[in-house]
Amino acid sequence: MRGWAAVASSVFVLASCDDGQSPITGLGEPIVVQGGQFISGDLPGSPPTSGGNTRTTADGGLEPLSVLSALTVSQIVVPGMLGKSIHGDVSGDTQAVGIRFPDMGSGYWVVPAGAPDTQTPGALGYSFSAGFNADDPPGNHTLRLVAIGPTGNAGTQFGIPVCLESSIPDNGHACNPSIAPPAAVFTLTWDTNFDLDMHVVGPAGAVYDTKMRVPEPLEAGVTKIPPDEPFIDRDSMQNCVPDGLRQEDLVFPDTPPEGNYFLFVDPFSACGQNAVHFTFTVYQSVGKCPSCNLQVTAKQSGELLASQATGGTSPPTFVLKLPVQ
Amino acid sequence: MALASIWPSASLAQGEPQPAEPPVSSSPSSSPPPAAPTSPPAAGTAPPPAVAPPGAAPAATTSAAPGSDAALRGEVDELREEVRALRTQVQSAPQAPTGPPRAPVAPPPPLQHPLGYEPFWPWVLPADGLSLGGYLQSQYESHQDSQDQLAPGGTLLNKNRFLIRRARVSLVGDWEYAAIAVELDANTTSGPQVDLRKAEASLQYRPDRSKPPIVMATLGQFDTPFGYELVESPRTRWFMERSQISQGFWPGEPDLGVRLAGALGFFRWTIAAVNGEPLGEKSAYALQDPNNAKDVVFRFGFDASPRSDLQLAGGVSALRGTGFHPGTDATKASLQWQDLNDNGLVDSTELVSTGAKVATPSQNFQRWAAGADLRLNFRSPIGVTKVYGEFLLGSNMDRNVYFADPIQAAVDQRELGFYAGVIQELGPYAVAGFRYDLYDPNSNLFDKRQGLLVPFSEAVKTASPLVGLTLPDRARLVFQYDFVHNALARTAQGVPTDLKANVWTLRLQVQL
Repeated sequence: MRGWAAVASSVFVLASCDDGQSPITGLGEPIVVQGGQFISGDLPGSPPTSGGNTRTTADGGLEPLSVLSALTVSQIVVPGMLGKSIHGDVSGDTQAVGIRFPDMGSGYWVVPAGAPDTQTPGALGYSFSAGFNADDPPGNHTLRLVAIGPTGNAGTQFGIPVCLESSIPDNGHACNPSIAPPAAVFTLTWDTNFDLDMHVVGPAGAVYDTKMRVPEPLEAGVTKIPPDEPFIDRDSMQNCVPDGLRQEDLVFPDTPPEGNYFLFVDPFSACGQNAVHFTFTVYQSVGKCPSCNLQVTAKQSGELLASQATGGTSPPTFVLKLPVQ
Repeated sequence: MALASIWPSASLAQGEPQPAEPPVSSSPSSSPPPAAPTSPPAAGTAPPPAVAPPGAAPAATTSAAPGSDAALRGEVDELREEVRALRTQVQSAPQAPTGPPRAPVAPPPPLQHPLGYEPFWPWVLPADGLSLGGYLQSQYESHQDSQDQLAPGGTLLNKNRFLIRRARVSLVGDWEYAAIAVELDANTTSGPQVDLRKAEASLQYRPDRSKPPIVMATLGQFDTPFGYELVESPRTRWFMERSQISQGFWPGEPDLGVRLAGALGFFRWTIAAVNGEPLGEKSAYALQDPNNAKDVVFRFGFDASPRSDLQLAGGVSALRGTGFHPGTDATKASLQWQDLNDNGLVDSTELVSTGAKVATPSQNFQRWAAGADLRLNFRSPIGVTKVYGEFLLGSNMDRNVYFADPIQAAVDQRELGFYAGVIQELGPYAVAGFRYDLYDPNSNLFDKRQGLLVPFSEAVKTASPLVGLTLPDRARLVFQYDFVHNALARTAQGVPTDLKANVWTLRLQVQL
């Protein structure tokens, strides 16, 4: 018996000595770098200095282990977006580049440095493609990059300002607080690839339906929805094509008419799913800009089964009666 | 059982002389014996008359002295009664045996196999006629790289689970000039599934039933006869799975084709032609063949027992085959949007039209493998020690782990690997073992370091200690821990490093 215990304990001792990299995909992190290695913990290196991202020495040379540049076409990040390309240069002694949001997430990503940049003597290029979690808190953030050397030592971190847009249509208020958000937004979200449609009946009998995004047909020659006209932003999961959003929003640019609003959900097609859990959320703008923001004023969740799919031939399912004053 | 035990005895009683009981016609001065034995009357017929009919056993009635005639008749009547009673007893035996208990007929003794004998084709020594076999391997396994997530496409990343690894039944028939083997496998490795593992129809010349056939020709589905590990039965293999390189080269053991094999003394030879798309291949062509060329495999080896406590076996193997790179279908014209300025809106410059594209043709490529294997079995007072190993080289052979496609990569993928293992019996009820295997799936690999391309190895090394308990020929309980060292992750410095992927498995096997 002692022999077996010794064998078992030695096996587990050996197993605990394994110094390999933890197999974490990094899914669910605020940023996901395609092809990168995720490592738990803080980003190595020292925080950016007050001098900003300048990485040259007094004699004009390059600081060791420094990120020289980070270029991207836009600092705006759409929630849940995939494939945002970021590239730049690092000093020639760099072996890898570390990436993370210092205020979010549980670790950082590593990508190897690339080929020498012929435009910048002594520098190496790098590039990566990033995805962003749809649940990232909207607003302005700084993405930090750092150059890591062959021995694991790292230089001074390099900051890129990025703004994560809100997943609720807010006219860009999350990135620029001086812009006023819409007066109200009714949002329908759901959890599986089920073709749900929003259906709202307003006080004067106005019907807002995903299949007709504005209550009245636009006149001939009108190419844009009038800025004060309520509208539904999209038909998510249309024809059961996954779009990664599973969200539809009814946006009231101006204060919605007073009265009772009846909120419905139309389970148009099950798309092969067994059931769907949905949430109807109502946001209304409160406060004066720039300190204004959208706040939740009503919320109702529910579940629908595949057997309740209508195909558009039956009335939608009633969810909530909402008085708006 | 009662019927089985009575009938052979009755038959013996009928068919052979019983010296303890004198024959009916034995008398001191007996005249010649009857010309022919009389048949007993059929069941249900009237008893024979007291006086024998003319011509039936005439000697007994005519040559005896008149004074003893009555006694003789009495004796005959007694014997007839005794025969009648015996007949009744035999006929009623299945319902209520009345005779004294007889010793059950012992089953034929099991075939004694020599040291190191392993039941894999074509060297298996099956019993004559049809025989049924089977075994079940159920297990729990735990993987260090398991996660509660789905891979793109929906594949489960959680691998910590109970599963039926193999539940196999086999029907084997062996006759003088022909043999058949059919094996079905059910498992839950990738969800519930049932596969045909073997379907071998063979003609053979096997004059000595205690030895493998001198020559055997098989057409059907059989294990690819390359090396040792690929044909070793999972029923007898102590380690959970084959080595990494074997699993990379052959996702599954069986393939379809023709096989010629033979054994002469210690010499063993096998030549086969197979489709080259074995079971388990991760393509749409498993157990089919997308190209006309067949993979040719041969193995020449030996199997010898220089001493009663020592067995040595080994061989060299080679394979030459043709792989397949599938072409692509024609496509229709489409419109693509690429959000160049990351604003989430469609701008006219972000729309790209893609015209219809013509189909591209499929292409073939060459692949080969060569290997050598050696194994030794030695019996000592504590049990049998088995030491074995195999070395393999290949080109474009990986069809399972690190897929080799030289058409896509524009360069041949060279593979190398080996394993060495030892299994030690610790008395009749315990076993311990250790195996080390290494697989380098691409010897031409380079990695980027600071702008330079440097040679780099993505070899996977696995060390596997094992302990087990066994009920001989009936059940096994085995625990195996695999220390896996790969190059699938990167360090903080961006250098390839080990991704934690150790595995432990607890398996219970019960067999017929």
